[in-house]
Amino acid sequence: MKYKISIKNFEGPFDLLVYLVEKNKMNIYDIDISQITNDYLVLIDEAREKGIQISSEFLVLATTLMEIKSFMLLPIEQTPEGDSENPKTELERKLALYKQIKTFSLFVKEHEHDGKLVRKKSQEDYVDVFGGKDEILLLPIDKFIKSFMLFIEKKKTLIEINERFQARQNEQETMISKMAFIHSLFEKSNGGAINFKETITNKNDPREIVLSFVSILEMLKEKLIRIEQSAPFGDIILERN
Amino acid sequence: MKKTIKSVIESMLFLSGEPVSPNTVQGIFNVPLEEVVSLFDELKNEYDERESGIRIRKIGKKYQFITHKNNHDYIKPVLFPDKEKVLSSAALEVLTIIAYKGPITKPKIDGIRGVKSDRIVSALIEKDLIEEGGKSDDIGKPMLYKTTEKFLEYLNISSLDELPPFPEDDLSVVDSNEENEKTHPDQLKIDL
Repeated sequence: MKYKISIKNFEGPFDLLVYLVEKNKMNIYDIDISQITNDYLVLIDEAREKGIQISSEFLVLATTLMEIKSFMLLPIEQTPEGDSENPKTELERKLALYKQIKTFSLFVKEHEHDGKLVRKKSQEDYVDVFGGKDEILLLPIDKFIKSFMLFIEKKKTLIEINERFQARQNEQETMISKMAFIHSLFEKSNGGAINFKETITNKNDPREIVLSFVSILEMLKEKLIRIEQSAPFGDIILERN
Repeated sequence: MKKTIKSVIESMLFLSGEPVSPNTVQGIFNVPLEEVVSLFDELKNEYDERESGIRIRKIGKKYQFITHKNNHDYIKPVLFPDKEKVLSSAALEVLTIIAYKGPITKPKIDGIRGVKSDRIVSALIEKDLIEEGGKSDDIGKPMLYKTTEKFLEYLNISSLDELPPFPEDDLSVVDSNEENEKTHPDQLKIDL
C-alpha cells in the first residue's frame, strides 16, 4: 500500500526522517543511508514541484544525508575512539533522541487531556471589596525616567494650552462685561456723550484702564461709538452712533 | 486551634482559586510549617473520603480546589464558553523537551527537534506554561527555559516526577556548538 505524504505534515526534517525510517522498517541505529537519502530527496523534489515552501532546515538535512552517503563510500579508518566520528552514528543518535521526545510528547498529551477534565475556579477580582492592588512596575530605570519626563512634558504643554485658553476666555468675558458697562453709562446719560474716565471703575489698576481702552476700541471697530479727543492727553469723549 | 487553622485553609482555598501555599497560612498562625502541611493533607483526605465534587490537588508545594474529574461532562452548563483548545504536536514536543531536559536553552531545543522553535517558545511563555530560568554558561549566555506551576496545573500533576521517567541519554549529540569545539587531530593547540 502506498501513502501519499507531504512534507507539509511534518514538524521538521527529523520528524520526516523518523517517519521514513519507520516506514522502511529500519532500526534507528542501523539506517540504510542510501535508501533513506533517496526517499528523502524524492519528497523534497515533489514538494518543490508543487511549489510548497520548504524551510531551510529540510535542505540542511538533505546535504547532511548526502555528506553521510559519500562518507560511507570511503574506507572506514578504525580510530581508537571507535566510530564516534562517524557522521552516521551522530545522526542516528540525534534521531533516536528526537523519536524518544516524540513518544514522550504523547504521554504529555495524555496528561493534557486529564488536565482538561478538572476545573479550577479562576482568581476572582476583589478590587470592588478591597480597592485596587498595588501594581509593581517592571521597567529599567532609564526607560522609566524617559517616559516619566515625556509624561511631565506633555502635562506641561497641556496646562500651558489650558491656561492660555482660560486667559483668553477671561479677557473675552471681562471685555464683554466692560462693553455692557459702557452701554449702561450711555443709557444713564440719555444718549449724551460720556468721558472715557467714567468707564474706569478702579483708576489704580492699570489692567482696568487697558481693559476699558481695548473695549472702546472694540466698540469703535464695531461702529457702535465715535471717539473724539481735542488735544493730546486731553479728555477722550465717547458718543453713541 | 487545629480546627481554626483547617477552617481558614478551607476558606482560603475557596476564595483564591489559585494554588495556596502552606507558607501563607504558617505566616498567620505561629505554628510549624509541617503542621500546616499536614492540616492541608488532612483536609485533602476529608474531601476525598466524602467523595466530594470539589477536591484538593497538590501543585508543587501548594494546594488548590478543583472540580472532580468525573463531573466534567455535567458541569459544562455553568462554565463560561470555554473552547477545549489543545496544544499542537509541535508545541507538545517543545514542552516535553523542556519538562524532561529543562532548564534548557533554545539552541538545544532546536538541536533536538531539528527545527527552529522560537515562535513555539514565545507562544508557550505567553500561555504561562514555561518561563525563563536564568542563563546558561554556554557561549553567548543563552536564556534557559523551564516549566511553570501553571504547567503542572495544565497537566493536573503535582510535580514533574509524575511524568513517566525518561531513559538516560547523552544530550551532547545536540550541542549546537560542537562544530566549533571539535578539533582536528592535526590541529595545533595554542594556549592563550
